[in-house]
Amino acid sequence: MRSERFEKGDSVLKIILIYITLGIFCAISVYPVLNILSISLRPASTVFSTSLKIIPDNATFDNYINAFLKYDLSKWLLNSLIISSLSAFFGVILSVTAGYAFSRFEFLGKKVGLSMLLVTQMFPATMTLLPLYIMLIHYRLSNSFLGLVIVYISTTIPFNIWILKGYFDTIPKSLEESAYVDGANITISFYKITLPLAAPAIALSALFSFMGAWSEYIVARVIITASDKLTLPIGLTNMMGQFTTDWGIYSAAALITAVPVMIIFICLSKYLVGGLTLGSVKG
Amino acid sequence: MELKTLQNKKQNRTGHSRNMAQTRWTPFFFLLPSLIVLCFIVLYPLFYEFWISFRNVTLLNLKSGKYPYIGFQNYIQILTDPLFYKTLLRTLVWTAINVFFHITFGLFLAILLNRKLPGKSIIRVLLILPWAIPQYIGAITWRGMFNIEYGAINILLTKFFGPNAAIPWLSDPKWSFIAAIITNIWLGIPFMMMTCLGGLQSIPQEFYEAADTDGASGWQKFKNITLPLLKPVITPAAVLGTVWTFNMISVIYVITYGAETEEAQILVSLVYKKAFSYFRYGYSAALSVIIFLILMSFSSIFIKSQKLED
Amino acid sequence: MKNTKKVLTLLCIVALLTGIFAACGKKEASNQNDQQQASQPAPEQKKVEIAFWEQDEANARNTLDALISEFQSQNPNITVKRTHFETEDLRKNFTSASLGTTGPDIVLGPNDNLGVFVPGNLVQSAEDVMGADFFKNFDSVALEAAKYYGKQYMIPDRNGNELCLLYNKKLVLEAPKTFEELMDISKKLQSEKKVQYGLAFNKVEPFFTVPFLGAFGGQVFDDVNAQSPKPTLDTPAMLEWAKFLLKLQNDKIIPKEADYDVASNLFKEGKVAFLINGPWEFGTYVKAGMDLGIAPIPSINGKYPAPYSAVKGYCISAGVTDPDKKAAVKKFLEFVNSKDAQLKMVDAHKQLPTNLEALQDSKITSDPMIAAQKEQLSKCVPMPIITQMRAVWDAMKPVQQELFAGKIKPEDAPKKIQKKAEEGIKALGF
Repeated sequence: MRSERFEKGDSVLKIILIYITLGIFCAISVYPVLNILSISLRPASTVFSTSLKIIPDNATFDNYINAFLKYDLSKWLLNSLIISSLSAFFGVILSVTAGYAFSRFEFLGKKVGLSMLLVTQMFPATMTLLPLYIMLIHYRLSNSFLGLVIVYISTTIPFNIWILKGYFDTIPKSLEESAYVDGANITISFYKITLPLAAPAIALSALFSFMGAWSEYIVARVIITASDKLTLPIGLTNMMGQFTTDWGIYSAAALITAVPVMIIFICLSKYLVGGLTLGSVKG
Repeated sequence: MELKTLQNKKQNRTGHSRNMAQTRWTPFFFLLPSLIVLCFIVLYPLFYEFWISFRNVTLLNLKSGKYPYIGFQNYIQILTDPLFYKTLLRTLVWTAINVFFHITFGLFLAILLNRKLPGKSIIRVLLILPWAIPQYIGAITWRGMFNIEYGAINILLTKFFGPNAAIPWLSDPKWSFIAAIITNIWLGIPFMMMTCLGGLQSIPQEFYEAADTDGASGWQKFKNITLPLLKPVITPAAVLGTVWTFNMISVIYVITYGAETEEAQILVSLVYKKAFSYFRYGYSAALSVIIFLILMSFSSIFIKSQKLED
Repeated sequence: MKNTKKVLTLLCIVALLTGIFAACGKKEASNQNDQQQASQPAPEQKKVEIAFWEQDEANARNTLDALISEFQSQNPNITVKRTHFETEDLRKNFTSASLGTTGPDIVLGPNDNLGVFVPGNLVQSAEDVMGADFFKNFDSVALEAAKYYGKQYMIPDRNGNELCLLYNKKLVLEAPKTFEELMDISKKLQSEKKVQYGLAFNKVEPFFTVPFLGAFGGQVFDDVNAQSPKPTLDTPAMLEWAKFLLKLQNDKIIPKEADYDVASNLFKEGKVAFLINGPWEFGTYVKAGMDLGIAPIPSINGKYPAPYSAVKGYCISAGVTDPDKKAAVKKFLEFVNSKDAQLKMVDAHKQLPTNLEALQDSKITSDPMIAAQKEQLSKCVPMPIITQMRAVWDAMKPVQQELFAGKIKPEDAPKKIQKKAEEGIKALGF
């Protein structure tokens, strides 16, 4: 039973065991998503049910239709799309150069700078909300997409820099050096040589920035109060009443929220392996 | 061992020589954009919080913006309160359990996925799903699954172990704390798994082949090749994971219905409660500064000890 | 080389810091500028935008939207922007927004918000804006509940919010008068396997258990109108309350665990015969095809439990100073509190209106659900709305949960609640 497709020297039993283990973990990781799906398909009268069926009896798409009809879901989707895309775009632009600098250059405070980036993650984020809010009001950026984007960028930059720095470290320097010999300056070699090679890490940091903005709630809640500018997470939490929540519609909307990021995530998942380099095995 | 010295040499060579195209201004030019944003959006709020932690803010004077200076009183009040130490201990337990399971499960799954295995790309996609779901949606879904009557978990438990096996996940603070831990472990495994997988794939296969010819067992290979080589990958991930988990408010907030009970409360949820229910921004800021100091000292000690081992 | 770098870094830091401090210093000045600009005389029919925040349930939101568009077509120069918040978020955001200029102009919410809004100087007197005459057409009880230390800060738009006993007429023909009866009926139905439990209510929130405290003669404050009211929670009544709740659970009258949704759905599915819930949910059960009965919560040892009654209403932000805006706000509030508008809202929230004309309308007087509420309302006590109440809720909630979970003995509960409430009140700065 030695095949090219398996590891050499693995017994059948071992292979079966591996599959069973992975199967269990997959089930646990996927089940909650199926749970939302199941609730979203239930007719309003049986949202609460003790049945474990994934596709319920009398499954219906009413909740999905109602999510768009009864709530401004399409508006929220659009707003979130704009905000998340802008955050991803600027988040990457800003961190890519910094990541490059941390990887390639020697300068005063490089080590301190890198650890300072980590340090920014240590202060409870909810508490910085009040000063941030005061500052945004001062610059007349409250209730604007721009204000929100600026905040999101700043929260993603530190992690992005770490990822990008780690990845740049794995790209051999010799490539750029040969470009210098050909007369290129540092800007050209950065754009023409290093950046294309770092595509996986760039895609990943864009993904993380996008996701962060797509699902952020606490900051958005305070900064955006105009009803036509609400983002998806705020809209979703608005669906929950003080006492009552229509869980069917909520689940439908939650799934509509989660699916786009899930798709992007799956498409980029090959980059996740190897692109996620916080530190590197290679020197 | 030879590998390590080789690495060090390489690092030394590339590290200390200045790039031929670099001028004195280049690094600054590259850093400037993000530096500006960070200084304004990250540093200013930090300074502000530090400043306000020495002041007395209550609902009554919140709007006026004039907060009397009270020295270290907020800090003294926190540090003399037994509740702080109880909550700190619970936060440590919360963080330790979460990070431990994130790393062990993550590493375990990464090792399985690093083998030749038909269908592993599909398995990988399924396993990273929890990461792709917005956190609060994940947490609310789990809360639904922990429901005593209608939740999937108790339905399964009663099916297999009889009607008395149902666990009061959400009403008993002890169980709701455990429920929050389970949820957070579920959320955090994919990140560690992918980080480890990335690290594993960059370990040259020759090491294992060499070990095989020496007749090393699987465990020996894991202990002598995999773990030491993964260390530079796992260390920053573990530090980040610890920091994130320590300050993870959303999961515990959602699962425990606002972390009202002291027995299911961690330090950040205490901060949140004092600030937004009681408008004690000064007190909360002081508590945040304490959290900040705890995390900072932990990280620097942890990273130093890792380096010393090398 | 190194020195230049050092100097450079230092310069940058200094530049940044001065920028930051300059920004702080300028803040107040620019705020004043804003206000001056805003108050400059404008041509007639100046466009005014009113920011309106609410925390209503979905049905009421739809009605509000309809009312707003009607109002806007009558007043083309005024736009009303409605934003929905969850109750806690509304309080939180209004408080932080008061530090800036982006807050709402009008807030619709329960009267216990006043306990935060008034001490925090977030709202202004409604009488000053609306004029005293406006209030002549309001129910006096509702008006009283919308005052804070004697001053009218809120315009009440509905009265009630009280908990009642709901029963499933398919299981129970007539509402029990006493709790003993209720327990007997429950046990009988349980032994006949018709229901899982007798009674259900939200066991997470003390709002749903505090009525029983009244049945044992307890109240949470010594005197809510005093300058500094003291919590009175370590009392024999509280001990009775704790023992009673635990007995309900131990006798399996109520489920071991139930939050709002579980309780509500057990009732909807016919798995419990009785439910304690408020008027905002009546419509749901009727829509689900239930034969719904409404009655006062039955008496315990001859004394009726006292649910909290509360009013909901409109507050005007302290930030509304511009005369044009004030006029627009006044117009809008007159519109939404007219007889017709209030009657439309009643369809959504199923509570008593506050407009005297609306109260006399046949739609209200002939509605059996509203009639049943009146009976319960006569046994209610007004919910304390002072800021300190927050500390009482926060003290009761965890201890109540611990009590149901068996973590604390009923004998120890009153003392713990009292201690927590006292700490909470101190933390609030009183």
